Amino acid sequence: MEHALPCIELEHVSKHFGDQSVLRDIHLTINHGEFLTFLGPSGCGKTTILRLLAGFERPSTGRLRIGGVDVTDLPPHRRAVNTVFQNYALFPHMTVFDNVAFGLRMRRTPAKVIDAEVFSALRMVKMETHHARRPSQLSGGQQQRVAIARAVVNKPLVLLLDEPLSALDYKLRKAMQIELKELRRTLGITFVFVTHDQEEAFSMSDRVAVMNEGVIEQIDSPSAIYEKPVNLFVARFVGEINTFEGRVLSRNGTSMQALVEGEQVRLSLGGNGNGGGAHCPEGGSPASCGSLSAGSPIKVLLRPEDVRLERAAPGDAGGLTGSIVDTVYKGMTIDLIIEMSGGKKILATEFFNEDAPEALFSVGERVRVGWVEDWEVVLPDEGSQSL
Amino acid sequence: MKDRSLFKALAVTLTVGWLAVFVIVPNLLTLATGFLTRGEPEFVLPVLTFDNYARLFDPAFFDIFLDSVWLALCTTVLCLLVGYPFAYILARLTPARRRLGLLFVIIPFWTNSLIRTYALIAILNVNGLFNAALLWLGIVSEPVELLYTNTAVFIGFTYTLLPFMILPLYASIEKLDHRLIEAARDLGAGSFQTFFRVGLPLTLPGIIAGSMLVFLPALSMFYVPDILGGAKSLLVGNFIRNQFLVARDWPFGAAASVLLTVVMGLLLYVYWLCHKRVRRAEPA
Repeated sequence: MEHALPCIELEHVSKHFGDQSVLRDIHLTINHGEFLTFLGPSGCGKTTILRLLAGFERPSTGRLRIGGVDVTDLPPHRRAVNTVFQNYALFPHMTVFDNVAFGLRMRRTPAKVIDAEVFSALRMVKMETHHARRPSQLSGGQQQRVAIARAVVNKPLVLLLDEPLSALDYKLRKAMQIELKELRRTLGITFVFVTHDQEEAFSMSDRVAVMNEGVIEQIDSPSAIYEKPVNLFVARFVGEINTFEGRVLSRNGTSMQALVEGEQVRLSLGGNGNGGGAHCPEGGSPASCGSLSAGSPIKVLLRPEDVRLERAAPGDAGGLTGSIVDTVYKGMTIDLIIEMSGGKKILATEFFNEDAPEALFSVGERVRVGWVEDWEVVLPDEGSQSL
Repeated sequence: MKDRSLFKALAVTLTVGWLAVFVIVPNLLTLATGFLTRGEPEFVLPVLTFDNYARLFDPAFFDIFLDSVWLALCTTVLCLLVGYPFAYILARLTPARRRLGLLFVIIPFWTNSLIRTYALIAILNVNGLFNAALLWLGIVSEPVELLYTNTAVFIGFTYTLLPFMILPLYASIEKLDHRLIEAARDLGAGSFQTFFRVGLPLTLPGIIAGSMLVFLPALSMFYVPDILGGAKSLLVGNFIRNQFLVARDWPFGAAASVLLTVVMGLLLYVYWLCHKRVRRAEPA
């Protein structure tokens, strides 16, 4: 955290439309130069946060500060932020040059300066040769670049990006992700990004805020979100995850004995940091964490790539076992679908080893299911939470 | 397969036939009549002359034409000034209210416009509602003579033609992508700049279409000036009607009518050129 200065501050911001609550008491600080992504399913309120920052909506309660200035009551055109819209929103009746020059002209910048600035912005997104074209003559990716140039040419404190890559095809999206990251490095301005694509969020952001139903469920670095989700929603929203039901039998220090899917297993309670393991979420209530005492119901979460499989010997008893019901070849990896003895189906991902094809499991084989100690995530059972 | 080609042939024949009988032939007849000579009992004598077209360059007719254009222009501008905010508000309403608003725009069409024009007499005359309102508001101390003036015609035109301005404007404002307005605001444009640099240029097709739909009828409509303008205001529409029905000079009336058609044709051509330019700017 080299830029520890707050750039955006949201203080107890909430927003409702009619009687529908869209954001509930959001309290958040985004630092200068940070790349923060709001990640969540549609309708979780992530776009509303962006619209509040841009000034298209006003919060029902709470204050917003950008660069230390209270902007809660400022209209969009008086804020030091610029937006890259989901569908680019380029002005169809203007050329690329005029689109990019729009913001500068609004600020009565001298024509000579406009010329230089617009071309430097267009060069940055490699669109300088297209300055005389109309948006309708450009491809989606090109329009995207122009939209970015149009926003950054104004040198805003914050660049707001509302799912800017969702309309692009996979390859182009990948390329633009890298370009956006690079752009952030050269510009050094704060990026606030909104997406429902976790891969996109993880590959670009310093921090990710996972949102659901108007609240921020977890805000952390991408790896912490993935490896140490604070609740089932976060765990399931970012990537595939296997969930086992269980109950605590006994607890001592950093580990506990628990009954999982009817079998007694040892679960690690984290604490050493590196792996996963159960942990008390920083923002979560310590009560739910402390409640992991003997008898309390728990969920054990395991990423498919963390599952370790062994061939079960015929007479083997005890431990978690199951049989392979399907294999899905994915090129670099292979997905195995395993039906547990209790009837539950789980997913395991193995690396494809071309040198030892005999090491691969085949359909019908019985396996013992395990994991690298400390990589499991133990959460208190929150009851009827479902996806 | 055969049924479809039969349907196609039938549809094309019907359309072409309709256009030929009710559009092309009458217009050709009018055009031809303009080159013939006036006759007493049979209206038209088959004697070729350019006299009728030459008479159109008479300063008296030119004045009538200019008056008509001026009045039509004023009507168009007023309709635009009233219609644009109206259509804008309409387009921003909730769908249910929008339907209701549109219904209110359309309801007057349920009554014949001739009858509505007669109703305007009752409103505009010395003892009418309009004067009563002006007196009550203290704007005038004596009733104003409105009826049978060009002002009355102007009011009548505006009233009759306003829906033709509102509907195309509504269509193009409703189509306007609100995100473009937000983008302009985001880039530092105030409300005024946003409207003139983004809103207005992008609704230009609606403005042009609405203006055409108001301007062209206002140029040729004859019953409104007949009823509200009295004998004093002679406009192109009345003039042509008079040549046919009062003066019984069909060839001259036809020549004037052809001139009007040509002028309108030119305007439509200009409209088409503008439209093409705007359309090219729109995203594919």
